[in-house]
Amino acid sequence: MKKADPYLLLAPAYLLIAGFLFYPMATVFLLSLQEYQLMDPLNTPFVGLDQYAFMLGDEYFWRSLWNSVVWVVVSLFFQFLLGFCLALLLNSARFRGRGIFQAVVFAPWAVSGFLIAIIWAWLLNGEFGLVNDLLIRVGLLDQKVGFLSREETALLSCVLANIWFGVTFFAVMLFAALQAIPPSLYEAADMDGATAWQSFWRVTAPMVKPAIVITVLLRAIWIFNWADLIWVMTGGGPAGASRTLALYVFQKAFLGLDFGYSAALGVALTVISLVFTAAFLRVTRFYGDEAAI
Amino acid sequence: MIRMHPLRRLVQFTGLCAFFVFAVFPVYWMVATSLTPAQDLFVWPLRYFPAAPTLEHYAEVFLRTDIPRFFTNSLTVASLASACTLTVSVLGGYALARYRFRGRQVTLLVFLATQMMPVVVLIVPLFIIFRILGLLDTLYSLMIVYTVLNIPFCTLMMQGFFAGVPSELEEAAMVDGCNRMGAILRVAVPLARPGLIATFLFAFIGAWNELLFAVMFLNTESTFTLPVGLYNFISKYDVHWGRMMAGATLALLPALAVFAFVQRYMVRGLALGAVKG
Repeated sequence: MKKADPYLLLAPAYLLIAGFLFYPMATVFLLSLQEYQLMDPLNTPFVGLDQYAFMLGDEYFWRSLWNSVVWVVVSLFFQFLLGFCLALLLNSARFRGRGIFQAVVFAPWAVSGFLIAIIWAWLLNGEFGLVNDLLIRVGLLDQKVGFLSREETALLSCVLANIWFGVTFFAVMLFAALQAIPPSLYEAADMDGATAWQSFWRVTAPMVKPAIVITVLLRAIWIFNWADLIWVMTGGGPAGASRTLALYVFQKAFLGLDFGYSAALGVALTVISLVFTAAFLRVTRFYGDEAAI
Repeated sequence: MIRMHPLRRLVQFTGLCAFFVFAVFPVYWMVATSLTPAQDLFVWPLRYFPAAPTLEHYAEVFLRTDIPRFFTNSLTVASLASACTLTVSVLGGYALARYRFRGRQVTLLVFLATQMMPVVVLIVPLFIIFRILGLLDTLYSLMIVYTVLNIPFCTLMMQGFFAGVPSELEEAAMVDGCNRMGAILRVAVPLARPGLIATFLFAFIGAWNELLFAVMFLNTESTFTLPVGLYNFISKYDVHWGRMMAGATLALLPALAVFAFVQRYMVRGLALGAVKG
């Protein structure tokens, strides 16, 4: 076994990642210090921190940041709550066809961002959408609501679609954690006269806590950076009411063709993600054996 | 086994049913819409089952739109990109599983950290790079991007699969005169085949579903991938929902077929970084 072998085997991965992930990531920082309009790529003067100064005064930036917080926190809260319920249900139920049931309820995971967006845009359609129909039938609404075109509901509509998609992720992860709890622990708790409630809080909760912490952090970062769902569903509208920071980065580049400012927003996004990542790595180390790679 | 209280059983049953409906209904509605004749889509109140199912939207999709071409484009890009990803990940994953070398921990940590990189941020710099390389508006640019984006994750995945294959067999093969590469290709790879397939399919789904890079890099309609093509349907002023849902159903089918296969590897895939490989 030669000493260079592992490096040779990893060389293609290292080179591609360096060239197409890290190098572009580094150039983003340089770009953010330039004035760079796509229409005028030969004239890209260095402007120092001007883009950042502009960003701090840009009300759309602050609004998108706030929307990101709502988008992450509300989505995550319900994804976790429902995902945990589903995992507990699956864990406690023994019935024929559980494998198939599991495969079906986990299927939303296979649906991509843009398809989720298309499906939910149709469900929430203001004229012939199913959600309107249901709510009117049940008597919760008197007349049709254009969920995606109203400021108060646009972002929450996207959150709803995100919850639908993300419950699966939590359910899968937490179900795996629940399955890993040795039954002897429950038997011991039972022997000591613990109620179901007590054995949940004293056995289940502490045993799945590492999985919960890691899943929540991973998801938080992922949702924070996820732009395509909202982009297809509402385009960030109306008037920026559902535009998150990640979407703002994309739209500044795609529609605004303002690469310099998009890069500055991207740096802001990256810095926030890095803080999260640092937290994530700390926590995974903190949990030692169960969690470390 | 302890018999459960009937009330608890009822709660359990209701809960599971609720989740089932919640998970399935949106997808059902997509398929139902795609089978409903255009004039029946716009009646109020809505009908929940297509009374007279029709394939007219599918026929339109095939005959009057470029979706078949977008479908082929997506298939080409996704398969080639995931084949490249797999090749690179098999080599890298093998190295990480079998060798203890300086920088191994750092590599694992860095690969893990890349999973948290905000991908939207890469769109602008990669656009500039591909413009310099002259690859904008071609499927090559997307193939490269999808290959690279999937490498860290898939390498970690392959590392896990190789770690689960005993190394004695490779050593035996090398004693019998195989070199290291031969041992990888003839012994380790066949043994880790289920893992290989799972990794390939994970990469495939990722590439099949990607939209933002595609929409940014591609300009000419003949190069569009399926997500871009469908996006153009929805961004037009007058959305033709029946046709749209037929296209969406077609786009979902390969992903679902793949999912049916990989779902038992899902936990391992999703939990990467959370659990030991």
